[in-house]
Amino acid sequence: MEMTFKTFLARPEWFLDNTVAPLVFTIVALVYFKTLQMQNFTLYAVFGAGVAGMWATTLWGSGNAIEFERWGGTLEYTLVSPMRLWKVVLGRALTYAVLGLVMMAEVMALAMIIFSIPLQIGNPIAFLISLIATTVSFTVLGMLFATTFVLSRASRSLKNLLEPAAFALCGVMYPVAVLPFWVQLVSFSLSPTWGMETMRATIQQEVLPATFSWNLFWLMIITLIYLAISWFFFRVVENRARVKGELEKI
Amino acid sequence: MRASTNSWSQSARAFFAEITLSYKALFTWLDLKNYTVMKFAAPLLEMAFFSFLGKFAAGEPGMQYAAFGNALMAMGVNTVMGVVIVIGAERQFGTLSSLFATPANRFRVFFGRTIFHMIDGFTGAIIGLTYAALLFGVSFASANLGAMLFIVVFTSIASVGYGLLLGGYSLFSRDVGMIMNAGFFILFLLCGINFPVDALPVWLKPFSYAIPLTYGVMAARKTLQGSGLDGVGDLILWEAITGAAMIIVGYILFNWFEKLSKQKGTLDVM
Repeated sequence: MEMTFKTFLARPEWFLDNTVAPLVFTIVALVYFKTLQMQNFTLYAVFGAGVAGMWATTLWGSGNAIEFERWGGTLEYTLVSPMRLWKVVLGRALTYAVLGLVMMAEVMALAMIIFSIPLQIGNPIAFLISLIATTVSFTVLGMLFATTFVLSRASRSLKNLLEPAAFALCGVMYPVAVLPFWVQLVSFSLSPTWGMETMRATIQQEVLPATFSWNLFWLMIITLIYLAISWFFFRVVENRARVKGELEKI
Repeated sequence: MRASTNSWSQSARAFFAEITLSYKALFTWLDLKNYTVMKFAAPLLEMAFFSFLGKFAAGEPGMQYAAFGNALMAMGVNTVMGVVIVIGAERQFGTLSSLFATPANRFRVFFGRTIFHMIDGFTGAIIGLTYAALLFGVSFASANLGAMLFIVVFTSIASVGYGLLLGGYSLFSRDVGMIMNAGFFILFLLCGINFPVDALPVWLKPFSYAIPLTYGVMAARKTLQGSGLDGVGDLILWEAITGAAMIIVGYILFNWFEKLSKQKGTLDVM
């Protein structure tokens, strides 16, 4: 994690990426919601933009962690080092998930300071629990994606695809009830959907609805399923990468 | 006379080879599989996100408004992602210094890189419009399809100026992704993709009207309601003016950033 964080800071653009990008995204979301005179402004625009930033950072991190190694010609060395690949990727994914949290905090601060939007969280403790559970889930998802990024040289395309997929399917800025029924079935198999549901419930009400525990339960169950799949994939990927011998192909 | 014809055809051949090779070489990640994903799946998901957001805000009409706008946004995506990447990728591949060491005509180098993205932007818009009709309930029953087609072609050409404007900066900065994302968000916000430009705060409107895509989207929306080219003449004129201005300013900046990056020695900085 320390190495990943130092690598992240070594890029002079980190400051731009983590200030200008969320600022632009927040402005787009806020102007959009304000223009359309949408209800639940805070709930959907501000927290939605925050979670979108979190998601983008985690995805960017897990994707680029592999892609930069490929471009730098160090992916083979990483794979043959005594440290297991899943541990390397876990450290990176976790670092970027934490950076994603910082991004979320930034978006909320921007909303409060620049746009004078009062942010109130109905049940702060439950919100914190939901946030931690969602962050863990994003980390595991990042690990899962990283396995495909190792094998495929199309990691950038996959990354570009997964970002709007989560925005569209997981109800980041609107409730999933807006989606057609068959799309909702896909949505509920994705952990960010449950993460959003739990967080929204904690923001809206001090007394949590009965569905809160149920949503949190599903968030954890799906995260565990992702973890099991990524565990299996790491074993397959390590083996296949050696057999195919195409790690350095760009 | 013969010599001049040969010289012209040689020049045309070289230009064609350059635009083809620069597209293929700088888009290595776009093999057929990746290209298909990025061309068909990613725009659909982006369109779905904004369309459902529109539905949440304003019901079915909101969804259809956003779906149509996002179909046209494919042209903007190409100009930003495509044009900025092909210029920025030279740095990533370490060929930027070699390129600037050649005596090649800079305008040809600069403008040649956009040709395929114009075609790509056009096909992207057609794919998007098909999605809008089939999946998001946009009705083309009263549309003037001929006029709409003309506007899509014209906007694909006019939009590259915006990409060139941003692309020039990627010669100087190593953070192509940042430039691309900012440029992308600006188009979503300012060009009337998801809501009318009139709904924007007053201070943002002048920026909207400086971007060619804004006029293209406005004109296309009118043709969807049945308007012919005569009804959108002023919009096409403004699109041409802003598009040409951006290409000229982009070219000046391209030369300036080339000079600046040579002076600062940042050509190969990664």
